[in-house]
Amino acid sequence: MNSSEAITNREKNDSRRGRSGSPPGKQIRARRYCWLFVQAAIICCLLPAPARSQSASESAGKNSGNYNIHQTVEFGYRDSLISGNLNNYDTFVDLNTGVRLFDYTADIRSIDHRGILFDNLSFSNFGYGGDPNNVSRLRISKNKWYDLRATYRRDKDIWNYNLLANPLNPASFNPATPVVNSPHTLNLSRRMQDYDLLLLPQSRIRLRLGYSRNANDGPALSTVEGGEEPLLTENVRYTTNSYRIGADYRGISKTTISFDELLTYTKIDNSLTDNNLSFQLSNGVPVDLGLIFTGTSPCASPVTNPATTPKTVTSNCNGYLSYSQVENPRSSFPTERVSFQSNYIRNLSMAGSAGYSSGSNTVSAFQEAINSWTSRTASRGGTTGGPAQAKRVSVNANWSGDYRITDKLSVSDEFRYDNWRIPSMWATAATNLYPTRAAVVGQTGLLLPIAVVTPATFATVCPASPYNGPACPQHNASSLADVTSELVSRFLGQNLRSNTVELKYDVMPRLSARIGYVYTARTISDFSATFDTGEIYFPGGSAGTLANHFLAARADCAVVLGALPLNCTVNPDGSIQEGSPTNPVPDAANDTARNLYNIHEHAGLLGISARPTDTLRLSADLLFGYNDNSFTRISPRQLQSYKLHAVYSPKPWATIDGSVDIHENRDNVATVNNLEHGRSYSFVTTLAPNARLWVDFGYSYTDNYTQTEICFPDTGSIIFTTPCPIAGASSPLGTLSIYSSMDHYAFGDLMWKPYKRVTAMFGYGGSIVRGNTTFLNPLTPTGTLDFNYLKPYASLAFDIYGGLSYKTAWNYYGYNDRGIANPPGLAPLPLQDFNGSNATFSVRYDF
Amino acid sequence: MNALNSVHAKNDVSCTSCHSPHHAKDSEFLLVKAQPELCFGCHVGQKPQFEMPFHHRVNEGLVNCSDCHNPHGTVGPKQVRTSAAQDAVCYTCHADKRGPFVFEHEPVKVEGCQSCHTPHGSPNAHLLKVSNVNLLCLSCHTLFK
Repeated sequence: MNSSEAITNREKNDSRRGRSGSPPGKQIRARRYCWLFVQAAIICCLLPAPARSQSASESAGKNSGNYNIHQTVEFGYRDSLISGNLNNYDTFVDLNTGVRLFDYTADIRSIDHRGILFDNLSFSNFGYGGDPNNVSRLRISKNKWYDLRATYRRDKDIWNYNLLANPLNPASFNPATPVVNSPHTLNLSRRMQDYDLLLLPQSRIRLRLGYSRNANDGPALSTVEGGEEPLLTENVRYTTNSYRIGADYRGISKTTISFDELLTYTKIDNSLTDNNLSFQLSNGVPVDLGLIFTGTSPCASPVTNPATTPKTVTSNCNGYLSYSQVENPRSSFPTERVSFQSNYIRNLSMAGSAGYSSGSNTVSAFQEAINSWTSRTASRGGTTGGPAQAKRVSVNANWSGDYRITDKLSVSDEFRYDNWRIPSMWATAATNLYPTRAAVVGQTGLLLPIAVVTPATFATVCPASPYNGPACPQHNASSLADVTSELVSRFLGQNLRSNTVELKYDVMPRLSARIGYVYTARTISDFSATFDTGEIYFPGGSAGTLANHFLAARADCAVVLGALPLNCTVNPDGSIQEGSPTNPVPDAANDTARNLYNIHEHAGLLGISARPTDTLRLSADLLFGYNDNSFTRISPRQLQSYKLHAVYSPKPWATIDGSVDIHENRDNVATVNNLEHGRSYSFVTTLAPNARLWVDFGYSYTDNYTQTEICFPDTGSIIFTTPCPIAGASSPLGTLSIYSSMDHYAFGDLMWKPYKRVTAMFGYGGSIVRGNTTFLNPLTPTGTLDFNYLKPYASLAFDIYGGLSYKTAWNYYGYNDRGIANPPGLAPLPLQDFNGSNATFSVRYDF
Repeated sequence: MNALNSVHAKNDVSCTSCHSPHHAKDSEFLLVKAQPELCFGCHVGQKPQFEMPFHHRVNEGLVNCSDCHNPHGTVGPKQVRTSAAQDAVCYTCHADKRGPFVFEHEPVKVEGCQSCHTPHGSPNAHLLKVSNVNLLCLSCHTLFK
């Protein structure tokens, strides 16, 4: 079974263990969970009061020699009952049935801090046995000698949300073809390891060594942009290794000077193939007609015989017989950095660093091969290759200082310099393949043989006009060059200088205020140029005439006013060539100099921190900014930020926490009219009157909004009829695109210990989202614009004896699409809703 | 980085607000509470973002707040970490997006990933800022100059 099947078959496996969607099964399982909870509660109530005062679950560990060893382990079984859209459940939650290690920790401490190999060791783990996230953390240290930290993390990232990149095929097309799985499905395993060793941590010179590895692999689905979008199977595989070595020198009083050398090396070995050959031609050859089945894509009436398996389609449709792409980018980032921290000067604390990095990304073996038919250009596929290299050179420095002028007044300054540039080049070598004439009567499109010619063999294969021999490539007036060699040269860079100065004054012992100013100057430069180093147009085609050089004069070399363009010349074999390695021809759209964008940013800062009473704490951070230019249309020219936070603790066991967080961004110049805001209001209350009862609850409301004027070429639209003032554009239509989302989130948790041996927890968390947006396609489902996502839970744990405890927990995940799941006219898609109950039964041992 | 210049220090968040040498609940950094609950104690508006359908796996324990933010301060905004080469912290995990590429999506390198994504969590697929990705593209790639 190929990887594509492995992904799409997840949806079919509704009946696998623990995931039955049938109502009877669900009811029986739900009753079983209830019964188990009742049983657990009865057992708890019948238990005698504990003989000892300390809870059985709180062990002080055991002493062994010079060490105190304390371990906890919790393992058990999770039973999952999931119904509805399993793809969405796996994307959002992905907790499934099986035996799990929920938690394991070990803390080993030297009693007198004179351990032989270490003084402290802590080791923690969770998620092993099949959960999507597994994490292990280890720390070992010996006072004056070393400190080692190691982390291993595995993330099983399943992503199959089918409304992203969905072509939204209409029900009216024959055959109606809904795309029920995400065309960009991902089933990735990400394994991340980090190791850091600090040697001689208390000496004047200490050394640091580090290594990180991030390995990603797994199957995925992808599409090729444009046309009918074939569904491709992708093998994702990329790895990053990072090495770090550094030293700190602390020979100067209250000062640390550090040097670090870092190397990051990434290799990517992704490959793409077309395994979605779900139709066949009349000769039985499998074919992929892509994902878009609407209008004339892949063609007006593709299926000629629905009775065959698979269905037989006409060869005149746009389609793919095969696709493959491999690329092997290799990148390296060596970086040197010097940094310091110092409190050497009285009342002045400083820190700063300077770094240099020269990264490079090289693609030496990019290769794309396509066997297809495109009716508009009469193409039978093509190949693309050629080496590419991009560099990233970065120079950066920063300094910050805080000077206490008086006991009440201090001033801080922070300067940042960041200058990076990315020069890059790609030597393209591409071919467009064209068919020969029909070898037999009725042969068309995908059935046509591919003409096998090169610039070296063309004269032999097609020796004379009109170049329509049986082996000659046949073009039409829209056909592109047969051979394309180009040199692409690009540049992107930014030079940033930023300074923040801030004055802080302690107005009263309980009240301080800050005022500051941020100035940032950015110069962004970009450049793009493409040079033709050999575009070759072979002649041949039924529409060929002497006037159009038997169709060799086309595209860049089309005849204008009876003559070829200046840079196009006719070769002895009848082909036309534009440019050569010794005579590169620039594209008309090339930049002739770097484009510079200068942006000057000014922002004022205000801050207040107050404790008017012992029980109330307030803080506020405000920012008001103005930029005289913007790099993109959605980059702000005006920005405001208001952050307010209050904590009220009327009792030692009661806390009320509230915050307001408002961001306003505007680029509201003519034809842009971009407004964005994010306004969030939240409160949380925590009550812990005694060790047996603990409650917290909260609510948050967030209002997100964005709007921008958009203008795009569209013909035949019945939705957008406002013309945009664009000279020369074909049928441009515009609108003010909007997106708004009102997000409500409420939660509550209750922990209750009715007996010393029993702990019960109940909780609820729910997100309710309602939104509005501009729909460009009336077939678009509202998706996550409107939904309820509810996550209640309950658990019951009781201590059995001597550190042994038992726990039963229930977690529910309910996703409910509250919008329009299947708009009229859409080939029906699966509903987005799912309901998931997870019951866990675990034993915890603390020793 | 100078910790005295951090946003935490400026708002009078002291060392003992987060660390306890004697009553720590987290042995690695002597934290008074484990992440992310410690951070949510003040940043109450961030908690709902990690409860969205699409979110970084912070509540699940895979990612810590301090993986992306330096609580002791950074030179950039929001105390977000950067690589040693001043590249975005996002590339630590999403290494395939780092490049450098011949065909860069320029706003990513100049303005940052947050031009299009909300990093904590979002109702929208791939943590996008809006629900309809076409609208996001058209915001910049429009016929208006």
